[in-house]
Amino acid sequence: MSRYVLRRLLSAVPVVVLVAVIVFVAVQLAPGDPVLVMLGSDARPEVIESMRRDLGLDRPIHVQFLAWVGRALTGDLGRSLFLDRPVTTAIAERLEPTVLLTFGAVAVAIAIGVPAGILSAVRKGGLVDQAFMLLALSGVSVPEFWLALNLVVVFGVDLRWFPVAGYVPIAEGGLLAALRCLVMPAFAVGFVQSALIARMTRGAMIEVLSQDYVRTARAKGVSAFGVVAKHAFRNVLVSVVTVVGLVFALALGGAIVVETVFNIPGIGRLLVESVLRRDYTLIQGVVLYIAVAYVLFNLLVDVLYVYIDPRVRYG
Amino acid sequence: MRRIAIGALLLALGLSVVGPRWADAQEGKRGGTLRVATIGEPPGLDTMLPYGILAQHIGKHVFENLFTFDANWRPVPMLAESYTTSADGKVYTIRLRRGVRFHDGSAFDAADVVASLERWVQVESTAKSLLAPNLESIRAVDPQTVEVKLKAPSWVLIYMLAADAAPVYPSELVQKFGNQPIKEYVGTGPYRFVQWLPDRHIELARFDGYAARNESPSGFAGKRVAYHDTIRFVPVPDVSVRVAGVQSGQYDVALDVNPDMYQTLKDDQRVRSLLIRPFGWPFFAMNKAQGLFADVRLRRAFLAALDMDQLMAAGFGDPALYAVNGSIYPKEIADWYTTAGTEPYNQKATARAKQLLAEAGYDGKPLRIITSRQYDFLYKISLVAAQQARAAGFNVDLQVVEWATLVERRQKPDQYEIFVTFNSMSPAPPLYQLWLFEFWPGWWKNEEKDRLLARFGAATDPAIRAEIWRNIQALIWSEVPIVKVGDFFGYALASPKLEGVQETYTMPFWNTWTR
Repeated sequence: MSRYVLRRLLSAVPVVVLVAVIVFVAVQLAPGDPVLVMLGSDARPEVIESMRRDLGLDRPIHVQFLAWVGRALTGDLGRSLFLDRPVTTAIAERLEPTVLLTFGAVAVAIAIGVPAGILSAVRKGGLVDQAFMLLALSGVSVPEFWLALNLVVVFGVDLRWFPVAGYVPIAEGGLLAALRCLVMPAFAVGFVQSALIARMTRGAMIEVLSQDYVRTARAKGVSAFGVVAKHAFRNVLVSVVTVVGLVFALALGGAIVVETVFNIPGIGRLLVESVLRRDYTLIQGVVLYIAVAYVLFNLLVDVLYVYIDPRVRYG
Repeated sequence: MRRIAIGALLLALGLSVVGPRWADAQEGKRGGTLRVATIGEPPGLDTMLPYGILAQHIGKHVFENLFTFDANWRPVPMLAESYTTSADGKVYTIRLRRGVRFHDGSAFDAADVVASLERWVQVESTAKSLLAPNLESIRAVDPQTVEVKLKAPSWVLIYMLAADAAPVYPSELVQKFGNQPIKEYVGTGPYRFVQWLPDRHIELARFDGYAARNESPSGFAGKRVAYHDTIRFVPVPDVSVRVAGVQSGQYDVALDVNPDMYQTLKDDQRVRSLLIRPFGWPFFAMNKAQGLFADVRLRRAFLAALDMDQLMAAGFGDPALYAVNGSIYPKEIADWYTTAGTEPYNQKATARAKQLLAEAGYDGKPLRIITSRQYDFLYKISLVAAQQARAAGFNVDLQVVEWATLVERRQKPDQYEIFVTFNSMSPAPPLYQLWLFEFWPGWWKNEEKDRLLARFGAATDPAIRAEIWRNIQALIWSEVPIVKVGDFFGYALASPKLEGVQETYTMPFWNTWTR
């Protein structure tokens, strides 16, 4: 098992390197100049040149890239041009809300998607099935920002249950205050992703429910709930975990949009702001971080298979 | 008596319609935190550097200048006590106020002013362009007196010293950071800098050692009282969330609200709509160095084709949010408002534009207009203007790019004929009218303009200055280096509980309190 994990980690290295190269080239090719963004469009040319020199942006691209790679190998992702602090520090400062939001969104997606999928499968073709699948269709069709803004209007402005925007770190207001800020954002991301889980769960459950051992269980007099919960669901779990892994990645993407709408100072917001500011080192650092997180989570999902399905063995 | 009363009433009504929208001075309530939702964050708070309006807006609570603007946008003393000008108009002797302290406890004196102004003329674009070539010396006569000696008389100096880009920093900080961005924010203002948590907020707190002036508040001038204990500037990029934040009571002020929200929000009891005027004006900047628009006849043809009523309506919607005005200065700045030479403005003359194109021998080469969606009003104005220019016979190539790309591309004379941008509020010409100068993209080279600007800067008599400005404005509408579209007003929201709000450009939050 540990050899498998090690092999998977090593095989992730080329992926991460490729991501780094693509991001570096894409960022450099994009029009726009971080110095102009920082100094404003009316800055004098000599001031612009001086700052460009100070930041090392006057060097050829390949020199900048090699210098960045050299530093990255030692764990130093450089300094943010705009925030004037190490990229790793900037990322570390934003981790808390993004981690909570991502896991919260995945929890919401599972809490809605799995029961909806199971109920739809059990009541296949019925009213419940059609209602849930309509909901799932609307889930995949609704953009996260639209849902987010509607949640703000209803639960933030009209009912005033949750703050319309912002985030209170755990260290300042405790876990409950932090979670209260994240309820609407997590729902906005989670609801959209729950549609995917619901459809996958439904499909897998319908297949399992037609298996002989389910029929045998029913024939033995096991209750309908017992059949689904004890016999069928265990076999559906592999498919659910696979799709949850995918949902995790999508939730990270959703966080980028939703953190901006809800004004949450997380990794997604950091990425958006760094792109708008053309903060090259920060963009590279954040994308690299997201790529690594994605690879690690996929690995975690693969490892989980072993515990869920006894048939899976990694040599 | 009755006539006088009616006259006073009419005057008051007139002022409320066209005058600067300043609140009356009242006694307020102390305490609480003012939460201001902003569109984003500035790169820094060193307001001498071109960090934009938001940096100046936040910074003006922390830093103060020798002078500031009153309700009529005229410069009056702030950290200065008074000043005198020599008979030849070349030497300004500025007396400083006593008893003023910086937030770090150090005393404010002439050494701080000299260090700050010497840095200012080196790093600030307008001071560097307008003042530095004309500056003989800045020196401390004694700890309470500063002398600025010029090579030629220039009344603009006091206006420039009143602008947000000329703050006074402690001399120790100026020495420490030199011309690099200052990152320790210590001033003499009614609020002191507390902390900046990136993407969360910038926090200011009342400065208990603040030495306020005694005069009644007028514009930014006079007595400043910090009623709120703290002010938090919270970056909230999404405008809907800024608005929802004020509606729900989470924020007290939302800046930069989209004009198209005015219709739905003006009668919303949960918020108070603030119209900020003067604010700015969109314009088409012509590339005069190269290409089609190096020919003034084609620039005039483009101008003739434009219907400014349509363009402003497209950009801003509700007429409460804009004014169709050909004067470079809005009516609210009465000292510089003039209709001189504005006849070519808003001609709506497609046939005349066609005739001018034929006379210039226009051969159908693409008219490249660069615009961006960054500012929605600029994009909408560009779309309609392109249509109007097409109707006149121009072969328009409208290029919609990202703002950063527009800023980069406008530096390259071979890449466009027009770029679409806007000018922020300026208290007096030629301050913050960079398009008047040859170094700015568009590159207006004109001997008559240079001669007029030189005379303008040296004119000590306000009446002569006004006359020269009228000539400069007429030259602008004749030579068409740019085309002003009209004046637009800023739109912001405040909580109905907030009192004393000034509906003005970079509205200050001293002298405001929460009920």
